[in-house]
Formats: sequence, C-alpha cells, structure tokens
Amino acid sequence: MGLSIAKMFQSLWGHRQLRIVMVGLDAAGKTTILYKVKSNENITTTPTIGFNLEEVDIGSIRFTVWDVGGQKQIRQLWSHYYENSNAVIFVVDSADTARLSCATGTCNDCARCELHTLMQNDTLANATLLVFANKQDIPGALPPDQVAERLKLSDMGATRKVHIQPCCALQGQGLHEGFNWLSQNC
Amino acid sequence: MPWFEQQGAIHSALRGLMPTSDEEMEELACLPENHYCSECHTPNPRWCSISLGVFVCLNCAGVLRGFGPVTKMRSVTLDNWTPEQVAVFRRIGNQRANSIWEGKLPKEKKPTPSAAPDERTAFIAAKYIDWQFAIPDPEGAVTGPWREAIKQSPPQVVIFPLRRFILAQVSHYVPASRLEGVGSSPAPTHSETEACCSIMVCCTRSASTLYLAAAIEKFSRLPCSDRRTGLWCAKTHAARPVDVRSARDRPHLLTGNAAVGPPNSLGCVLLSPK
Repeated sequence: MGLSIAKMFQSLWGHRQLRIVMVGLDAAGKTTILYKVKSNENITTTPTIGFNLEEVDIGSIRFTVWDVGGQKQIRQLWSHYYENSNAVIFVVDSADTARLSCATGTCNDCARCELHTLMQNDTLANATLLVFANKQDIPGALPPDQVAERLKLSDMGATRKVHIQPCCALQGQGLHEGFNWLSQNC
Repeated sequence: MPWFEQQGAIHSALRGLMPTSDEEMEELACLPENHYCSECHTPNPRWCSISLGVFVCLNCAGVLRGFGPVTKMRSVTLDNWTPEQVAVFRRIGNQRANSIWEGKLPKEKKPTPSAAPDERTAFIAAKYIDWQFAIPDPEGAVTGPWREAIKQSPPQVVIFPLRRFILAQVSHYVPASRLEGVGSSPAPTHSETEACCSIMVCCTRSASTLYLAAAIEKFSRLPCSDRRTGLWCAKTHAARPVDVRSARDRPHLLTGNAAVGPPNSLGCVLLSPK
C-alpha cells in the first residue's frame, strides 16, 4: 500500500527512478544500446573496461543504467554493481550462436551460464530480467524465441518477471519497447 | 604408488612448469615484433583479433569489433585463451601480418596513435575489407585464418564512417565470376572463381532509402582484383540516395546472377546468389 502511494506521488510530481544493471558477454552491444537510448547516436565503441553510467529519461521514468564491461575477467566484477538494482538487462548477440549456450551448462563462458550464475545472486532475488536479443539485423541471427530457448529463460523461476525483446541497437528498433516493458514491470 | 598414478603426478608437475595459454599470450604480446599496434603504432597493444592474428590497441580494437564477429576480438589480459588460439598468434603476429597486409602501403599512409576514429576506420576497412595494400600470400600463412573467418561468419552488416551508408557482407559463397557490376564500375575480373566474395549492401536508418551514393563513389574506383573479400558495387547514374526496393534503382545496383532479396523486417535487403 505504502509503495503504491509512493508510486502514485512519483508519477504525479516527477521522475520515478529505476536502477538498472546492464550486463552480457563482450561485444554483445551493451554500450551501443546505452548511447542509442540516451542520445539516439551510433557511436563507435571501444571494449568497455570498467563501466559506463548514464541517466536516461523515458516517459516519466528516470533509468540509471550501469553498463558494465563483458570481457571474461571483468565478469567477476559484475556482482559489485548489483546492489539496489531494480532490474537486470542482459544483452546477447543473437548472431553469435556459438557463445549463446554450451552443451554442458557448466562452461561459465557462454551467455546461458553467465546469465544463470548472475541471476542466482541473492542481491538480485527481486530484480526483473529483460533480455535484449540484439543484432537482429544480421542475417542468421536467431529469433527471440530460439534465443530464449537457448538461454533457458523458462528456468528462471516462477516468481521472476522475465521478458525477451528482439532489437537492433544500431538502428534503434526494439530498444524503447524494452525499456517501456521495464517501466511497467519494475 | 602404482605406475599410472606416478605418471599422473609427473604430468601435473610438468604442467605446473609449462606456461599456461594465458601466460604464453602475455609473452607473445611482449615480443618486440608485437610491441606496437598493428594498425596505428600505439605502443603496448593489449587487444587481439583472433581471425587476423594481430595485436592492436583499444581504439583499433573498437573499430575492428565494429566489423562484426568476423574479427573475433579478445583481450590479452581480460580474456582466457585456448592453446589453438595462441598458436595463431605464435604463427602470425604483427610483423609477419603486416609484411603481407601492408606490403604495398606507402609509409606515410599509416595512421598514427592520435588518428581520428574515422581515419582509423577508413584505413582498417581499406586494409582488411578491400585488401588495398596486401601483396599475394599464396600459401595463406597470414591471410588464411581471415579468409576462413569470412567464410564462416554470418553475413554481416558493417557500418563505415559517417554512417551514411551501411555495407553488408554476405558470406554466401558466390563465385566472383557470377557477379557483374554495371555503370562505370569495372566488371569483376578475378581469376579465382571460388573467391569468397562478399557483396554489398543495404539497409537504412529510416528503412526507406539507402545512402549508397557515397559508398559507391568510393568503392567503385578500386580495382576489383583486390577485392577477394571485397565489395562489389555498381555506380548509380545520379548522386542521390538509392532505393534497392524500387524497380528503377535495382538494375543499377547489380546485375548478373545476384538476386536482391526482399527487405527483412528491419529494412535490410540482401544480395544472394541466384
């Protein structure tokens, strides 16, 4: 009750704030997505070492987005960004089918292993999960339902709110739809 | 201790003495021939392209990564390495790679560490997509992994500077002889009929028109024989945006046996072999 009143006040008098942590394997398109929604620009990104932090206003919501680097050794640092996050955005390269999932489920180097490891973190117990199936413009990219299957999104637990959103960060398709879903489900 | 356990103990002791792949990669990165970025000569490059076997700086890594999965970028320090990946770098490395890739490059054309992103991108595209500076590499010792990566990679949309046009590489295996340019672009004369040929094109930010004129201007002047991985394109008659979906512009883009596919949901049109 208290929470819903607070939400109502926020919607009347200002921005509701959501804290988002955006992760995913290297070269999935996290930084490109961040700056596309922030300023509608396509920037030539360099691999992110550390993180980028931007506030993005969409509708009446202010998203504070932490975009964290995805290189193997940096993934160990992801957990330091989880605190107080309302949602996780997990970005995958839908065309990089070799790294979407592994045969064993224990390789710790594919998107599925990384996703399931991170969602088991206690800090994220109540976090919403949005998966961006990026690079849909590349012929050969898997459609969202197949990406969801490869990532085993159905195993995320009954209470977790999960959504997969196809997108193309370079052209901007799908990005606002994803963020709108977050604003309605956080 | 039974003999097989002894053997296991010896093996694990030996393994402790052998450098791991990650350590070996560090050592390779420190060799004098790999001490400068293979593209812009920035000292101490820490990034690598697995399919090219070269060490590059962070900025060039960003540019190469923009060419899509074909370049397979990894960090020397931030990623883990397999023995097979390390072997590519032991075999190639910056010096040997550039002896082929930049065999015909005048010294003054090489970007400097302070080069602007657009200059860097243009150089790297000319070097690896157009093979502008490359000299023949008959055994494929240097260019082999790159050719292989192009063959295996999914068709890839590559964005060139200014973002005025987008080129799509198509990994379909189209013999060069089956494609013909039109307008003033030279007809492909590549003798290597099985050349792994990527084709142009397409797609747009507004999903309605194409901004190919500049690309066409730029690339159609290049000698086709250099474009083993290259971009076949034709010149349009007018310097205006081209719409591949319009019947009027289509014939000007490509003829021969390349078919223009229907635009996908994102407005991308792909050319494929008929």
